[in-house]
Amino acid sequence: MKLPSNDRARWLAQHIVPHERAIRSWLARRTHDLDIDDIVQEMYARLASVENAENIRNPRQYAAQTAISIALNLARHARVVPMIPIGDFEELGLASLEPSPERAVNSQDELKELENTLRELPPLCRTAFLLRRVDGLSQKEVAEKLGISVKTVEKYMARSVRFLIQAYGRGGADGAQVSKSGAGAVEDDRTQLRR
Amino acid sequence: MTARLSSEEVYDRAASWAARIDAGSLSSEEQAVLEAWLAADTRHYGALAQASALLVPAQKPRSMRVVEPVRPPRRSFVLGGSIAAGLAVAAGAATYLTRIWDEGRYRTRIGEMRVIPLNDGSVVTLNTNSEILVRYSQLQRNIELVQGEALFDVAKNKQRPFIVQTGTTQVRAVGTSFSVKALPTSRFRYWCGKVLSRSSGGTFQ
Repeated sequence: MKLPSNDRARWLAQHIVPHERAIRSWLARRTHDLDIDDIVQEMYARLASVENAENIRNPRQYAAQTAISIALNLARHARVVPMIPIGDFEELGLASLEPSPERAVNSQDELKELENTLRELPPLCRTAFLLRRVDGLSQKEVAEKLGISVKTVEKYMARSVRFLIQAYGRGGADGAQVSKSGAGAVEDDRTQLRR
Repeated sequence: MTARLSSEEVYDRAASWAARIDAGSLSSEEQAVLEAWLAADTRHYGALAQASALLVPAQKPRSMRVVEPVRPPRRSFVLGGSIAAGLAVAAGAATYLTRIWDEGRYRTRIGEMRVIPLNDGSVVTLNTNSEILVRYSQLQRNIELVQGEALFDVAKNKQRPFIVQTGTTQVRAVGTSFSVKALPTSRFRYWCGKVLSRSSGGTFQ
C-alpha cells in the first residue's frame, strides 16, 4: 500500500482537518450506535487515496458525503435498520455544510491557533513540534537545535500528533479554546530557545 | 488474525508511525511491519493519513522547491531505433489512455438512496430504485444511467469530460451539478449547471 504523499498530506491538512470537527458533529446528529472514529478514519483513508484531490470543488462537502456513504455502508452491514434519516439528502452538505464564507485566515492566525491548541503539552515537546511543522526543520535539525536526541524528537512528534488528533477531532479540545496568555507563553519558550 | 484495535489504539499507532516516517527512511523490516499493519484494516491507513497531515510542514522545505528544468537530451540519429521506440510509446499511451481506471455498478433498492463519492472527486447521489454503471478511463469519465435518477456533482477536469448516457441520449457536464432521470423516451432533465446533450450519433448541443 502506498503511503500518502506529502502533497496529499498537505491537502488534507489544509482542506479537511479544519472541518473535521464540524463533520464529526454533523455525523453525530445523523447516526446512532455507529462509531464516529471508525467513520472518520475510513473517510481519511478514502480522501488520501482519491485520484485528483485538487479537482474537488468543495472538499468539506465531499468529505461529508464520503463520511455519510461510509456510515450508510456500516449500517447496512450491521444488519440493523439504518438509523440515518436519509430523507434529508437535499439538506446534506447544502445547508449545514455550506462552505463557510472563506474565513480570512492568515498564517499568523493559524500559527496562533496551533500554538494555543498545543499549550497543554510540555514546552520542549511543543517547541520541537513547531520547529518541524511551522519552520520546516527536519527532525534531525530540531534535535541539534534543542540539544536532544533524535529519538526524543521522534517521540515528541508522535506525542504532539496524537494530541492534535484528539484536539481537532473531539472538540475534546478545550485545548482549542483561545487563551492569549497561553499563546504568549509558547512564544516566550520559542524565543528563549532560539537565543 | 489479530484482534481489532480500538480507534484510540489505532490513533496511537498511527501517530507513532507518522513520526517514524517523518524521521527518515524506514528500515526494510519496519517497512514490512508498517505495510502489514496498513493492509490489516482501512482505518489504519486513514488514521496514518490523518496523522501525516498534522505533521507535514506547512510549506515545502527549501530542498523541494522547483529546480531548473533539465535540457531535453539530443535527438538520436539512429532513426530505426527511435521509430520503434516511438511506436512502442504510442502503443503504451493508447493502452494507458483507454484503460479503465474505475469501474463499478451501483444500485439502490426501492426507498433507498445512496451517495457515491467517485475517485475523481465527483459525487453521485442515486435516487430510489436506480442504477448506474461507472467507467472511467484516462480520456473520459463515462457513466451510464441504467435506470432511475441520479444527481451528479461533477469535479471539474477539462481533460476528462464527464459524460452521462441514458438510452440513446448522452449528456456532457459543462457546469457543476445536474441530475438525470431515465425515462422511457430517453428524455432527461437537469438543474443547476450547464450540460450539452446529443442523441446517438449527433453532436453535442
